[in-house]
Amino acid sequence: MKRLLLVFMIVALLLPAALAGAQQTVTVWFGREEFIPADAFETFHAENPDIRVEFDVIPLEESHVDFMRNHAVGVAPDVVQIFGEFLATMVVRGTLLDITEHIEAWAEEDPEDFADIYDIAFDMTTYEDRIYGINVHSGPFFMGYRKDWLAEAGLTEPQTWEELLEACRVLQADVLTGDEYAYAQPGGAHHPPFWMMATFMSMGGQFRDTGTPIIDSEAGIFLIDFYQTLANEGLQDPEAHAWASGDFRGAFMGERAAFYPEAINIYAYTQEVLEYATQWEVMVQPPREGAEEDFRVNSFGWPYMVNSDTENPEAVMKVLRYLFDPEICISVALAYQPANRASVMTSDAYYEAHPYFPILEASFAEQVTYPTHLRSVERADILNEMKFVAQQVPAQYTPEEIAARYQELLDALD
Amino acid sequence: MAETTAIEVNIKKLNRYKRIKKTIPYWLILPALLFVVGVLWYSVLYGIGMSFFRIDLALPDTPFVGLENFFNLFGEERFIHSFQRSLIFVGGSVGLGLLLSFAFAQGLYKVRTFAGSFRGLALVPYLVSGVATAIMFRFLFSRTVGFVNQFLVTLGLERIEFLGEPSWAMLVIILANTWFIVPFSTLILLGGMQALDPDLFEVALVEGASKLTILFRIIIPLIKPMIGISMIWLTFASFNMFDVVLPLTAGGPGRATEVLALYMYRLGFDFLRFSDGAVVMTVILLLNIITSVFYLRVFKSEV
Repeated sequence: MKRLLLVFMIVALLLPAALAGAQQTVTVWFGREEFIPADAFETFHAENPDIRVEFDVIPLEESHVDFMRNHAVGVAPDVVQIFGEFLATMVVRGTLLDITEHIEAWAEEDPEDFADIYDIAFDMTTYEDRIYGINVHSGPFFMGYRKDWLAEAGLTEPQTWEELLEACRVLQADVLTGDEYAYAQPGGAHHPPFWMMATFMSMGGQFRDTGTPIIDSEAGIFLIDFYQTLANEGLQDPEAHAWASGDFRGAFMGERAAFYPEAINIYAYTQEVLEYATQWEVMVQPPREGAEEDFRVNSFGWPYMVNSDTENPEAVMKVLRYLFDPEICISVALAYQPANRASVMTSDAYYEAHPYFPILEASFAEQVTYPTHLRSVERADILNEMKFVAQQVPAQYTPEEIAARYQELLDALD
Repeated sequence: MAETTAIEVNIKKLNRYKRIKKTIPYWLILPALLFVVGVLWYSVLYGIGMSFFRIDLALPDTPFVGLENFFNLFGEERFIHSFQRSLIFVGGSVGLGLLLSFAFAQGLYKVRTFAGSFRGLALVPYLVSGVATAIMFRFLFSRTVGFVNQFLVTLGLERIEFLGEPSWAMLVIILANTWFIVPFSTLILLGGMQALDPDLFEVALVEGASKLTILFRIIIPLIKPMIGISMIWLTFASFNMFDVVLPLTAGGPGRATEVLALYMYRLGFDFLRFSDGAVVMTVILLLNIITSVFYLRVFKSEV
């Protein structure tokens, strides 16, 4: 009896340690709480008892820096969610794992599942032809507009940027009064130039291989001219150049703006305060006249990247595939950011939650990534300053002069 | 002979005891000193050390470059601009802050009923987070929906682009910063005033001194050291101010409110040029040390 008790005690003491030894841990840093799966990995743990997922939320604004700092001392998580634009810096610092072979194996193993995924899921995480992560969610910028105000002015949805600018002029002159303005957009200092680059890409703007935008091009000069016109003709709030994102969203939702370039997650809030299809509508940002072939729908995303030091790449891949599972990522898509899976985005549940999505669906599937750059924040800083200069009233320089000046600064980064 | 020896031994013991007693205060402050050295000095010294290397996350190596980072940054137009913005910001904040602190301290000194409650209330702005302060001031000074502009419109005046015009934006960040840092300097001055002997004022009044004479001839000279400490606080809090400026203007419009602390953050945590950020940190540290020494000398007690 004593011997049996002794054996039982030894087993009781050693079993947890043995189990713990067999269990792998995968740590994940999410960039926003909203990206965490609704079941908090409960199903994953049930399906994979040998893998334990531990997660934390590190804001996207600082996750790449924190990750690289932690990586330097060997305590970085296995997976980190970042702004896609920081990819180049992280690869150059040797902090990310090349998972190309794992992705190829996935494509081979389950081609049907793989075909359901939009290209942007891997385009955004590819640097010099190698894949370093998965972009489960991304949010291209489209355009929200006041359908009722356009109708009142006898206008229809503009098909080009030239038509949109003309519509702004008509609205400002004939329909809008007081603090109402035709166009709303964020200023420069508070945010990366995502909105500006979305417009630039729809106007046909191109980038060098290094990720530097070619501003001294027809598209770039057109963009600067567009901003100068908005500011100098009083088509936007005089303080718009100092606005944060909340200010310009508030302007549209507060019925003080007719057009606003935004992403799908914000339209979800817009429909709560303005009646969709009656008061407001969405459209894809239009092309520039004569540059229809260069038109592209930009994409900004928050991909999950894999740590180069991870000890469990197989387990990490299971976690990433779980995050991209249609049944998991749909909960995030419905409540927050769209997912890069056709089956999710064309589901009845998504259409019901986002009734405007059928208008954007085709463009969403064709997103083109906003290129990464080794000095992406300095690139953003120069572009923001350029936009500020372009919005000076009265205009101090011609669009060509501004384009030349800032192209030089941008090129110096390369 | 034996008695003399015993006395000598006792004297030695007494001296030893006195020597040990003298060291007790130093032993008592040792834990705090170790904490400060370990946590604060280490970071500062490490930061200064970083400024002599090229630490840039976009580059693979971190070579020793001596003073090159300093020369490069001092040659940058943006650094000079940021330095100038900081001097305006700190000058405005210290000037306005000292005036308000003095006025509030005087008011709180005179208050008798619910004095404790009023002193507690005076601390509230300091207890509110910098981000909350920034958001509040953004709401106050927004062109379209801001309270201040609504008030101007009610008076039949034109709206002002407080956050869109560079000069106005600078004024707004000075006001927000002052609102945030004044309570602490008020308490410092109030402490100085409360330490004064009230009989001095009574004698001065009997001698026919006016209230202004009492203020300039008695109160201010006697609390000079406190004024110096108050100014040190106002200056270093302003040079280091970051958490109000970032959410309020983010350095804009353009770069109109990009003060040194914000520029340091941009360099270090946005541009990932850690060594350049460390150079700005060193500059801010030197500015704080120089101004503190200056204040302590100028406002040395003469009593």
